[in-house]
Amino acid sequence: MSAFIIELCDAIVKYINGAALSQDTTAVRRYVPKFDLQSSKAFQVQVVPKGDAREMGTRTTDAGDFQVDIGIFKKLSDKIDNEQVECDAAMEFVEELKHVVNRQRLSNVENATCAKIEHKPIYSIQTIDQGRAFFAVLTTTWRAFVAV
Amino acid sequence: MIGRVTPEVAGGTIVVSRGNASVSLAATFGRTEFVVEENGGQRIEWSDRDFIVASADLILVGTRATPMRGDRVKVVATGEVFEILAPGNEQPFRMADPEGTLLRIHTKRCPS
Repeated sequence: MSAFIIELCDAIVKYINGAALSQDTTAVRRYVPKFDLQSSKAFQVQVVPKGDAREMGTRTTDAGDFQVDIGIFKKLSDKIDNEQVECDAAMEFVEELKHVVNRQRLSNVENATCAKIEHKPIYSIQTIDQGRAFFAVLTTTWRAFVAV
Repeated sequence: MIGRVTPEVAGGTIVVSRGNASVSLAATFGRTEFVVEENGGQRIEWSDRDFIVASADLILVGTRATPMRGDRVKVVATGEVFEILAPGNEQPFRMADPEGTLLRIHTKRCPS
């Protein structure tokens, strides 16, 4: 029996990778999220399990809130004068990802539904300043009924 | 004197570029470190490298320049590309001697 949160993360990865997005990216699931400043100019998206809270739902199921972090990272590679334009584009991509998962129901994982999205940090000032890279995290909460 | 000799034994030629302007100069390679930064449980990894150059050699568009955040440094021998970025809240470069004859430039490796 595999862990439900892992199945959920895999389903989210599959869903993001199947979505029509404006930017070229391949989401991956990670236990330890690591973003690499030097390997790629493309968006790096990593999906990481964060929380699993369950309470009694029905006689045969638990009602659970499952938190999954989606980390979004991009090395800013254009001229320094265009930094704001590049950051704006990255923010738009994060919005796009929010739209993709918001209220989404993943039928293959106990009808898990994305019920909450927390966008924090909206972006990391430190990462832009010291690494010329954009970094944001979406903490998504998925509601599902899991068999006992 | 040491500043002029060390690039031959502990460095090489680099090209510093800013926009369309660039200059080729000799540099001594300083420390290279692999850094992992924790940011809300997520990790960001990069390689740091310092380059020590003669400040008089850093001439962009006919003018003596000081390194700026976002300038690129290419190591000619390896093709590696670095971006001038300050570590922590420091300046992206500092004088390597009291007279400012030599500059130590802080960089992070970036995709070429």
